[in-house]
Amino acid sequence: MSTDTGIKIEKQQTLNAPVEHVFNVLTQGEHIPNWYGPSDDYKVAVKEWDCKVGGKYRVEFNTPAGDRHVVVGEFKELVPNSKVAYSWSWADQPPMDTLVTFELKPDGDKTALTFSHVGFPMEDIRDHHNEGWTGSLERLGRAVR
Amino acid sequence: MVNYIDEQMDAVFTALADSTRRGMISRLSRGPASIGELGSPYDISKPAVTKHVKMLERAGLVTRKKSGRVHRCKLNAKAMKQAEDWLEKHRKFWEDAFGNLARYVEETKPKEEKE
Repeated sequence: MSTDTGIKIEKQQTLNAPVEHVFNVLTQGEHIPNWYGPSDDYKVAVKEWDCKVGGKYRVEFNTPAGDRHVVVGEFKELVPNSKVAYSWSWADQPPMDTLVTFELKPDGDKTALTFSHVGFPMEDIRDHHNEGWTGSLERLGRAVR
Repeated sequence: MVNYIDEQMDAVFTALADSTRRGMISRLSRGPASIGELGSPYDISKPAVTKHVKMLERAGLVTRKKSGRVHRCKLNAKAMKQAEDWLEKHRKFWEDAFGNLARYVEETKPKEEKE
């Protein structure tokens, strides 16, 4: 068995903005606090964002209750206006060896986004995840319309 | 609200970070098994199998009972549920981020794109 457990969350979404802009938002650290993270109650701070293949990132989430959670990883693949992939792990947890990938395709002046998060440890947990993703995908579609 | 960090989850994910132990969990999800049965797909020594099982036990994922001379291992569904709950929160993270992303790219896109 390899580290790729064959476990995958996938999501597709059309974003109402051109592909160049979506790529910038995904890859430029100053945009990150504007969309990353669970809710507006969280203060998101980009502590490191070295956006090149092999470069590291570190993003802190400060909760309203005063807790701090930190996500860390490394950029694995960057193709302008087309693909962004980075490893993703909570800094204070055992490394989970998961990979986040965004793939972009132009759709007129919109962007077709395909998202995946692979490498979760358990297949049954993956199935559990997919149920949630399907629902949120529908909500996202409504949100951008 | 969302608590990503939990001490027991540390033990659970450490236990699940290894492919052999994931394989053992997968086997146990089909029903209880002896230590020998758990180790049989792998080319590892019996003490090594026992060590893996002990890590799963420590994480609360597996319980072990002696019946006669055989140790029977069983999956602890409650601990698996906790791991699922952890990942449910994880999923929520991305769901929220996606909602924000859709809004944000639309609000900030360059104006001249619109005819």
